[in-house]
Amino acid sequence: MAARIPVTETTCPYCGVGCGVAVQGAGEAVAGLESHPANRGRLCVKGAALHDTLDLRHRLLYPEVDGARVGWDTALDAVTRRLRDTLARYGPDSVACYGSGQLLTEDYYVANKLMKGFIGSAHMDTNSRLCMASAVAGYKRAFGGDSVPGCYEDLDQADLLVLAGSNAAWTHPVLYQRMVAARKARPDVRVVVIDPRRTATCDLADLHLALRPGADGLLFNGLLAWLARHGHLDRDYIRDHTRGFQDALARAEADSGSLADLARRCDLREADIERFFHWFAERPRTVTFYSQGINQSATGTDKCNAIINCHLATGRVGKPGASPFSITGQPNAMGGREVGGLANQLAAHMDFAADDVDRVQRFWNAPNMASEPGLKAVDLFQAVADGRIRFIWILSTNPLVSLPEADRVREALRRCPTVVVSDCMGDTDTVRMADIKLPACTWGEKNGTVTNSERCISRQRPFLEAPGEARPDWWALAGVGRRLGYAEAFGWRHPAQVFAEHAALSGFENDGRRAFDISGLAALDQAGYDALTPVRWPVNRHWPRGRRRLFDDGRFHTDDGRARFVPITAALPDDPPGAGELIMNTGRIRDQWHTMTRTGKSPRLLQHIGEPFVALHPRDARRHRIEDGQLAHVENRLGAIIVRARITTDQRPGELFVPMHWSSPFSARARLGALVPAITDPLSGQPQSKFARVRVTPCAVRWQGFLITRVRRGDPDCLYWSYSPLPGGHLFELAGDDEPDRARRRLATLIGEAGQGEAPQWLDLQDPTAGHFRRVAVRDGRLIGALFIHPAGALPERDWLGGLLQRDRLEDDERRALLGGEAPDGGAGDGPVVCTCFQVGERAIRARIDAGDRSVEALGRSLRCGTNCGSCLPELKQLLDG
Amino acid sequence: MIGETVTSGHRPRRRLVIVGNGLATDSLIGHLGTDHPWSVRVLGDEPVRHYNRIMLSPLLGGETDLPSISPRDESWYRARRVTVSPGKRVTGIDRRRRRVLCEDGEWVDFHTLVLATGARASLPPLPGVDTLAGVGGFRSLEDARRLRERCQARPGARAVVVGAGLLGVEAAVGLRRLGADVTLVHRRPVLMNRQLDASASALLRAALSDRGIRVRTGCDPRRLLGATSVTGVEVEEGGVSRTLPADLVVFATGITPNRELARAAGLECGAGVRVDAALCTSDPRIRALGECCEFQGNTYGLVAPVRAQAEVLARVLRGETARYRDPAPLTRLKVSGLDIHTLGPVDAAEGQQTLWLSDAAAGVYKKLILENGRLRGVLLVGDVRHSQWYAHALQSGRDLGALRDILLTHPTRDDAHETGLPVEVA
Repeated sequence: MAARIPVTETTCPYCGVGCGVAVQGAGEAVAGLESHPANRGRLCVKGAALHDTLDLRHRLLYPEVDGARVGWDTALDAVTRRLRDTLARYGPDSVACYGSGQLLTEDYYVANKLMKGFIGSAHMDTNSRLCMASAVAGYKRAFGGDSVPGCYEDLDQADLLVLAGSNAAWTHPVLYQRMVAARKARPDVRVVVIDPRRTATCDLADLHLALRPGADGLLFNGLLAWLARHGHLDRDYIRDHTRGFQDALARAEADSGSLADLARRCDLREADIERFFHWFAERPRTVTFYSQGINQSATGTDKCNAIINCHLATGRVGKPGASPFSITGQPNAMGGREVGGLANQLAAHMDFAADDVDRVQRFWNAPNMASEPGLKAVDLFQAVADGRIRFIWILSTNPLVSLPEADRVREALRRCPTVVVSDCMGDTDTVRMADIKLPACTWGEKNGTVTNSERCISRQRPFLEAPGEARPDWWALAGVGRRLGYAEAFGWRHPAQVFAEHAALSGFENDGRRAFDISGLAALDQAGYDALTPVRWPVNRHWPRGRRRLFDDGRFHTDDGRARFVPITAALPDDPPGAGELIMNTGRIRDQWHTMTRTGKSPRLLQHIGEPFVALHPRDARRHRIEDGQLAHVENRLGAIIVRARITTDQRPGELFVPMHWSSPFSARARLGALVPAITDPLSGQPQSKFARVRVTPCAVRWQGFLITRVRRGDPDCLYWSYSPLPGGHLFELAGDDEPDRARRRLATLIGEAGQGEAPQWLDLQDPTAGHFRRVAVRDGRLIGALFIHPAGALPERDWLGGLLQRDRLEDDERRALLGGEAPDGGAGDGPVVCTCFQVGERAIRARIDAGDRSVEALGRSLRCGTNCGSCLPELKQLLDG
Repeated sequence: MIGETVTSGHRPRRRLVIVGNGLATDSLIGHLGTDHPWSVRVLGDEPVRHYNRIMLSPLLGGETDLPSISPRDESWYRARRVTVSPGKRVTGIDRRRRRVLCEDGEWVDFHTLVLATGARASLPPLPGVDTLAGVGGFRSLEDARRLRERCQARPGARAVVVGAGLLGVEAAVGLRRLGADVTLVHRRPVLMNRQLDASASALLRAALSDRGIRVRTGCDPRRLLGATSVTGVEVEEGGVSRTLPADLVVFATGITPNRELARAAGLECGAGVRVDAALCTSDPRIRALGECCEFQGNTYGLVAPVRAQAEVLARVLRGETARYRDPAPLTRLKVSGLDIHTLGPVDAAEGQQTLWLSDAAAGVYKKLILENGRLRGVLLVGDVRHSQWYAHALQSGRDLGALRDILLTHPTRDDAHETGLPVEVA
């Protein structure tokens, strides 16, 4: 009998949904984990492609100091020595650490302890600042603690789902599918999407409120006033469990005015607003599901509280199917919040109040406690820029792409005397700036815990040996702690020990005052830790098996146990566009994650959208003389990017959308962080990433083209390029403003394959007068690569040629078709891939529709499309409707 | 075999006499069809009825045999009311009495006479050309038979083919197939220089070398050596004189129209028998077509114009109005699996643009010449799938600007002309 392939139960490393993943063997296959409460067996397309991302291409595998490979001892000695020198000369305020919602809780805990207790600097911030800092601040103001009241079951049970600033269909697909299922099971359920863009999520919406960007707070203020005016308040709840209602209501009434005023200022139709308000009034089971569209704003915290105010006024907090529900972007943003890995937090839901500092000092027995909040991300890098911070350790994140004014961040890091970067990838914009590179374990190798958006702690378990000399981040951080002389405080041998200490701190002198309490897990030994099943905190004496919902008893973590209304004057962005300017909104696309360092390795994840783009309304396109598919400059005083234009009425006139993902290894000039001004929410420090004033102009190119090659020999030297991996090779989309023939000569040198062999055979096509050139390399009957250049980019699809990289032998008719770039049978392939899971292309889908398929279900039966992760269902529906 | 006058109904049919039985005649009879007012008599000097001369090289090489290249049977001719007299050499024309005299003494009357006497190899005036055995051209069944016998009598015979035009290349390949040790000698650097450019020539040269044929370019024959039979060719190559040993020498350096019969009859002749656009000679009762004729100063050695002439003449003979116009010269050649098709000029002139594609290792080369979006020249080596489409596009003169991006690779895609009129190429 064959041995059973071992299955590792772990957690997905992408978004804040935190799905359970069952991994076969050493990553041979992945599947959704049936037993995990977050996903119950489902996975989205990114999760389903996780096994594509496990190869060692582009991995950072060995420590480096100043460009030289060294052993770990040397590397950590160097980190320690430079850290000591910096501390000795400039004090603890000159040291910073910048972490990530990708870190495991254990990594986070050790970094936070090292910084705030032993180095004595609170400049410990993370990329979670860019993600949900406003949601945290909003919860703290309202509930007295950073606590998500609800859980995912609420999505199944709600009668009204309000998605505010969330494109869940693409960013949190598994939760979106839950909502789809709920809506289908109970036709009375209503879904309202509040988003300036018509996103894929709107497919589910009964009502889409395409409001003016930034007007969300105003709309919810209007809702509060309307609810009061029409007698829909839960007066008992307000009386018994809250404070500050009258002030908040008065402010909301003054702010929102009449319905007509509100409609005008939100740029919505009165009737639509009223419909939303009525539904809200009629449906006690309401979940407001909000995400970066709310958080990433100069007034993000106020927007969160405007939402929470409406829920408090109707008593809809922590009840089945009723909560204000912030959905985090990252897999362990919540875990970072729990350990206190933000500059304005100390540890374990404690801030910098004197008794908190004292308590943590005693628990850690720490010699150098930070006693004041540190600098939040944007300010922190400003301090790097102006030389106040002279030592920074960046873990598992890519701020050169993701932070606002990213070009300034690059300049800051260039000037910083010591930049330590811990990362699993060897070539990111940030790793390129490192003085000391520390190879980190990544998903599949790491061992620890993460907490998802519903407070659910679950294990990430390893199923792969760490490659090269990659090590867990907590191990590297603890190594420096020990070298600084704190052997006992950093003496863990296993992440289970770190977790136990973290759990103990959460319960230390807690007495129910701090929401986050997992003291029930403090006694876990290694075996218990390894066996830990998903559990929603708190886990303590009262809630030994975790707690589904918080505040269902109406008791909050404020001093008096009452929730707080926060009076809000909703401010619209105070930086309106000038003449000729547009507002740039940013966000995710369906198949990519963050700066693509992991998802960018999966060929199939770049099939859906393979190039950075700017979406704009046809009216703006006409005004700025931009054609669909053309390259465009998007620029402002801070920077410039070149991306491909997509003209769509999904955008409101005057507004652009650019995806956040593309970074230097993936495109020539698409780091949109460079365009985002460093305007932050004064309370949360979260940058306003969704409202930048820009200009858009056509990008004049003399040629466009693409390059396919088996090995990546370097970045193309031309005005524009965008990279996608292919199975067996690489694809670059190209454009240039120089002589096509000159570009051809220069770029053809990038075609190649690994190893030495005889010179390839070259196939050429030239129409020199037109500037149309094609060059293909073949060796031993295999395709090595191709370069196609055309003045207008009128070239064949890349799928057939790209697919030939997987072939070891070309048939004669295929060889003859190479320069044509299309399959010899004239079959043009399936077209752009719509269903990434089953690789179903648009042409194939259209053919089925023409053949009589009338529903997504029918298409699913014919082609399987949409039957796995479901994230393409909105597009299938569009094709059916078109 | 002689059925002089055939009647149909009451009126005796008019007699059409055709002198010569090559491709022009065959094509003319084909185009005349079965519904025409003539009784046709064909007088051919070769001993067989008809064969496809284009297949002479494969025939020489033993790849095919005479029946296979003689597609017409008795019933085909009968249906067209055509009587063929093979081995019937015509020696004179009596224009006044409208009859021709055959070598065997027979007079044949005509109402209309068609001269389709073809052309012969023109041998250069080199010492030894006229006197030595084993020297000749490669034009006829008789030439093929002679070369075959010589090669078979002497396995490994050394053959020198002079002139790497279409016929020379075909002769070289045929001889090589027969086992001869072949050297192909060409005065210019580019083979088939009227049809190919240097890139295509290099591919052809490689294909010929693969067949074991030695190719010498820039090589000019000066005289033939030998006492009774030829033993070698003295050539000059880059200013150096050398001797190529040879047991047989084939000249493929050009052809001469067979105009002697016409000239003796007093018809107007230049290099060939002069005709107008209705293929009419200076005598309105006498027409001429094919390699023997001259139209607007041009003579012909390729198939396409001859076929076009045959079509025009057939219509004229049926009483229609038709005018001949030179088509773009289309050449088709197949050498050891290497297809070559060319159409129109090889090199771009002023105001013309060149598009090309090459996969040298696979023996593929394509070149198109465009002028204001219109196709002027086509050169296809190794991949001739679209030659009919190109020929049609070129002749129609239509604007191909919209197809330019795919013109070299997918010209037939998205194009209604894909299944347009078939164009004769041979």
